[in-house]
Amino acid sequence: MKKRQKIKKKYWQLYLILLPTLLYVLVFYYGPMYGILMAFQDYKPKSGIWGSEWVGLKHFIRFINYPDFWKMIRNTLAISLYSLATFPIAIIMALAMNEIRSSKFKKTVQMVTYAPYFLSTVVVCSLIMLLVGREGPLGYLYTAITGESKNLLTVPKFFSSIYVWSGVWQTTGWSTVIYMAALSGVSGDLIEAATIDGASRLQIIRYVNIPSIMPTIVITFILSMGSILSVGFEKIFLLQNDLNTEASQVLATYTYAVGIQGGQFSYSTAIGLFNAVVNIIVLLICNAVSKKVSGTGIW
Amino acid sequence: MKKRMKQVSAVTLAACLFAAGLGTASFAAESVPEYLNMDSLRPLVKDGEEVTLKVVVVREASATSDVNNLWMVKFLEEEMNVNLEIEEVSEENSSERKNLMLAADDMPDLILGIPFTNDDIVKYGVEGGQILPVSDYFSEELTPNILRTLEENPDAKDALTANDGKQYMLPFIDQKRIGAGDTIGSQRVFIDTTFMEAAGITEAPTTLDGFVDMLRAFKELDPSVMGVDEVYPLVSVSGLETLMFMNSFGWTTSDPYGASWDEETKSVVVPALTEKFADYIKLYHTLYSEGLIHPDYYTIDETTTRGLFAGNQVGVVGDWAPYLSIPTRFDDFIAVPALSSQYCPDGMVTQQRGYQSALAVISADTEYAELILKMFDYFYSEEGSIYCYAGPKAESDDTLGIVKGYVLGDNKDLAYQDVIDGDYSDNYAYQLNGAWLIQKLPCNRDLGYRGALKTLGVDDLPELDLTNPDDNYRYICYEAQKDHLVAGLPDFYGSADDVERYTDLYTSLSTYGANEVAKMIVGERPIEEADQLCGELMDMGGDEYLELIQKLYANYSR
Repeated sequence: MKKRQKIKKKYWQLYLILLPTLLYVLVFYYGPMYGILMAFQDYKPKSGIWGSEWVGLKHFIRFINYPDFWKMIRNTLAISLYSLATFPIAIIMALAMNEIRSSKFKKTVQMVTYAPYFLSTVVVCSLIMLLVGREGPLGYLYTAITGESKNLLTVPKFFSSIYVWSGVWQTTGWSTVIYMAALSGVSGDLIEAATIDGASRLQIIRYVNIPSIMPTIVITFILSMGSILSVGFEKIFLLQNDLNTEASQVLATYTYAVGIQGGQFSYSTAIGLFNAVVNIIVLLICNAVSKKVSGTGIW
Repeated sequence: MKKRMKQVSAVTLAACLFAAGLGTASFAAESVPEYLNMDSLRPLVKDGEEVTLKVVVVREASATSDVNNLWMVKFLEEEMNVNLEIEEVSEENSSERKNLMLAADDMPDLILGIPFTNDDIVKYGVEGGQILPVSDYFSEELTPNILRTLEENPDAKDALTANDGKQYMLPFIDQKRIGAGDTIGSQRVFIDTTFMEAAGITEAPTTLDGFVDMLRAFKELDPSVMGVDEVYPLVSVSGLETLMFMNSFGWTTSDPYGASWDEETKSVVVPALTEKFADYIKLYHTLYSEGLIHPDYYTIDETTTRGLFAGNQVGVVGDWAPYLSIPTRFDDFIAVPALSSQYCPDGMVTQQRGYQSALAVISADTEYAELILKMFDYFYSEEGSIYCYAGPKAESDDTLGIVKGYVLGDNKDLAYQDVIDGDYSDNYAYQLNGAWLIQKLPCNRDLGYRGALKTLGVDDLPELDLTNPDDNYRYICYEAQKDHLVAGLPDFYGSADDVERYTDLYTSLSTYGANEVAKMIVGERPIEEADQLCGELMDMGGDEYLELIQKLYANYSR
């Protein structure tokens, strides 16, 4: 008790700095959680959450029995895992940028790679449509290779690649920020010692830099696994058309169709809760595996 | 004595009746708020008092003026003592905003400009209790004009009566003149006569096969002769050509997965679940494989499409009106007539309705229900309908110095001094940015139009002015479609459970169906398998879906 009081007295300013963030999380993240009850009710706005009829797992059963349920799960996982497979690109880019000696060149590269992140999804999708259209550069490339003139967005097997690699272009620069920050914390003495021992630059990257930022890599990887069933809605919705729905129909677009357009709030909450539960289970498994293998985990 | 008794009884009875009458009158008077003016049409609220209504308004995307400076808003404020506290929402966000308002049960007094479907009415009105049942307030004292309008338009009244027998929305009665309302169909496909001339075609085709042959002839044209790099026989905005082809198969809808009247079998069907749908797919496959429709049919956007129209590269244009993209050559177009086929030998065009749901919904929690109903009743009066359609008459006090008002044009039709003086580019711009609050207020546009002309001393409706692009397109549609109009199905009111099951099945069937049809059309799947699609859809719940549709329309007959 005395010790606790002593800590409080010594570090009260730090607790005070934490307080707004804690309040923000409590009010905007934990507070609305009671809304999850809607997933188990036949929610009517007039009756409110406490007055709506309880229906148990009805909406979850309805969702699982939906004819395209497994197709949506398959598409969502396919796109999500494909995105995850591009995870190392940001790390490689950060390692490469860290090796740039010219600060001017480094800053230029950073600016060029960060810039796409700030484009809106609508603009990015318009760019994609121009690129992969029949008369776009990629469309011409396809025609040159196959002899067929096609809009690549109408080919289901290309959809996930278009989605993922455009996402890589847009977000890789931004994702390097966290790794660059971690790399800046690598001890200069270690690098110097390695250089004296005759290590080449590649060897320094492999034996010094990467191990130093491994905890950061593991944590961001685990966090990415925690959104395995969450594929962004906007971009898929904008790129979707009748010819690629086989590959582009995902949980998010279905939730939009029934939840927002159909006004079925209880049902869409149930889908969202299902999503979240699966993500949490995957997160827990990954964290446990990571802790066992590398000793690093989120908790 | 007996006589005396009779006299006393008679007087007592009379006194009782008189008292009962007083009681009734006082009940009616007490049920109407004090601030309402019941003695005359205007103002709505008694002078010396003011009421403020909270309103969410969605105007058309092309509206650019400040909503608070619109003539109608000022008129309500200054002449009717009704202030509007307006929150304007953009068209693209309106659907989301509507759902959020309803989900949070946080509605303003009045929502204008946002469409509410029958499903919304059942969910939030009949079962949710969030939308006011306007019919509960109908009375000769409060809403005489509304009652008269509904009596004169029984179809509108039936269509807006929910499954609990009440109305939650009011109708917008369209003009009843040539080229408007139910005098024309919903088809909007137009042939460029310069292409016809170049191809040596003298008359528009009246059969489906003849139409396809015409497209082939357009395809054969030398682009350089047409003064362009490439020619596209048929391109349309938002799939507008679909309705034309669906009509030629005898269906009244443009949605193959929704309910439709089938003129061939005289029954309610789901087009994608009929055998002849295979032939419909094969038709589109032919159009695509022969290059008669744009190769990017599934991905082309509206901007590119309108660019093709404006570049005079398209022989058959699917658009709301030719002048929208081709303002200088609008008179070079004719409307495609009803196309006959083996499934519809007489050819048909889905008839437009003479009414629509007005885009006005009242919150059940409003304190001003009577005021809003009285305001809507005013809009259905002759003066109100004139003001909703044309705004105030020129040089009248009601212009309030905000707009100049309507006058009689050279062609004996309504014109607007503001447009004549160049304050607005055209009539629609004046109405949208100067006069109207929204286009589809609950009112009688036909009464408004005729009434405005009457105030200018014109009793007969003027003929359409073919030099006017809007009149021109209406005329050509009327001429092409007038003898082949067939009414579409009304929207249904289902229970919440039925709507839920309908949504599930519709989403599943339409997503699968649209994908497979697209694959067959572009050749990704063999076109010979078109006959199998109906069976595949049935196996996915199509039979249950069809049964549900037929249950929802069980009481429908014609």
